[in-house]
Amino acid sequence: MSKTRNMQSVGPEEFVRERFVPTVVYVRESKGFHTRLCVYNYFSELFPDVRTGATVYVWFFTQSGKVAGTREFHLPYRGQLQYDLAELKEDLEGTAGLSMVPDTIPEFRARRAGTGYYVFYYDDAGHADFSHEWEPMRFERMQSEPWLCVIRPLLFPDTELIVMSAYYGMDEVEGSTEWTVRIRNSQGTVLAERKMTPIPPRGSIRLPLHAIFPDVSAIARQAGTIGIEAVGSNIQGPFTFIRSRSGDFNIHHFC
Amino acid sequence: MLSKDAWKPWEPRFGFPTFMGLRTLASFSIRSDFKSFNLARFPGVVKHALRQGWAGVRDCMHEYGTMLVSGDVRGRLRFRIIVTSRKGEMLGVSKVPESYPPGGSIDIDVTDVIEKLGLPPDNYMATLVMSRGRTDGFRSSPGSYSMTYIGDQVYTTYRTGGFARILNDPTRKRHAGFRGINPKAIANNGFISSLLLINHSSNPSYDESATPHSLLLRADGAMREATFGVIPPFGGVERSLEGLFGKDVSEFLAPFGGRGTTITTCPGVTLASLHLMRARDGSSMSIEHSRPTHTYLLHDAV
Repeated sequence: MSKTRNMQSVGPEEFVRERFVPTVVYVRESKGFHTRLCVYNYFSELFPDVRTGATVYVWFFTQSGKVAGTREFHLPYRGQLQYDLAELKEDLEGTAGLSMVPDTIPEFRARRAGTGYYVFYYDDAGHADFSHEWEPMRFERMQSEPWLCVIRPLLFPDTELIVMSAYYGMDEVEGSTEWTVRIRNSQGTVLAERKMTPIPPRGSIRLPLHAIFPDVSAIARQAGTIGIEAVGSNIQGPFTFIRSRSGDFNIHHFC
Repeated sequence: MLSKDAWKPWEPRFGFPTFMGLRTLASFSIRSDFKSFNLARFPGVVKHALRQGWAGVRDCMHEYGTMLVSGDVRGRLRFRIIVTSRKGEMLGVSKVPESYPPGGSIDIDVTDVIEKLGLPPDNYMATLVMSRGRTDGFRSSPGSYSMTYIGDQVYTTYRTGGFARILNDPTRKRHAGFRGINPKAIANNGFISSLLLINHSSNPSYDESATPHSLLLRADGAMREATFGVIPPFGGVERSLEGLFGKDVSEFLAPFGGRGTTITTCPGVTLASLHLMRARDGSSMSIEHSRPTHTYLLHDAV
């Protein structure tokens, strides 16, 4: 495990190998909450005649965008990986970028290919959830799509919002993240809006819904169905983190 | 088989299961930038239709003709929900009374819909149909559906989009086959995974069953094989690891903490695939759709 280091001098060449760009997930390993990355060498199925192994590259980032560590794993033909972040031996909340590069590079159409995998979350109380990988690392400034998702703060008061930077390039100015959160009613009318604190490149944030909109329950009581919209620059599609009153939880992207 | 007019070819659809004993909520938010007609994209729509031959051109003319007549060009969407049995038998339809503009949201209590259709508690399939999609080749939904399942102890959600692309319609397209990979499969004292496969189609008259085949791979290469069983047209079948690979599957996976990878294949058809996991003490449930791995090499990630 490498030590935490600043990423000022690191760009796409660090992350993109043989046109395989890492795809990103939210991770947390702290206070009884755990994360496991689950990968299968699917090149074994896509190119069975080649019987190729593959190398899995993983980068871990703190919420402030610093690299918290890196890992490499070689998977044989039909190999699989279930990596528990507990093996990092330190608390972490932020993101992981993961790519899988086959030993024998096949001909493929994509100019930059992502990697498909899953992230498995669990807690010490016996609840668990999982999600597929999310967006690829980006190295150019981008405007996000207007992600919109129904929320139910009266049914699930413990609703949080997870937003991750999309930018993993070198330019701290180009990579700055500006974003706004809105609540819309069922007919699309904006009921509340808040400009959010910028997220650094490669960084992320987890915020309780009530911290963003202290009166969200009152809004929901009055409006009925409401959606939350997050829009801005250099942000990935946001996630909801919802814990029910029973303790079971779910982490999932808006769209 | 469903009724021939269950949906129009351009109406994005999304099928999902319900589970007896769990309240099912389904929601959808329409992205605020949605336009049902996009002039810049229209040449691409025509090109896509021409590539599909007369059937594609006919559907395109029908789609845009009705858009002009109905006023849907303003971007308001209407929704309805079709309830079928897990065997794919049509049981009822419920229309959402209002229409919704870009930026708007619907939140449907599917369990309530099923009760109002007079159906007894059971495991069902439901298909949400929206009146228009984005003007891309798949008429993809302008946002994702969100399926939420709530019990006394469990709560879980998964989200994914609806599409109007041609699926499992032998008269229009031939599929190489389905492959679903689950590297987070688990069978131990705490949890048990299962797979739920849906034999969907873009053609309501589709009447072909599917019979997938599954492998369970251990990290040391040891493997078990199983026939998944028959999935009727528009049906959805859930099989647990124990149901597929034997009651002793926890022992088989025990050297690796109960973890393994399943690979399920079915030549000639495409299937919708869901991964589930339940805590054995009933305290937790998870659900997520799988993604086809080959597409990572076909489409640009950025």
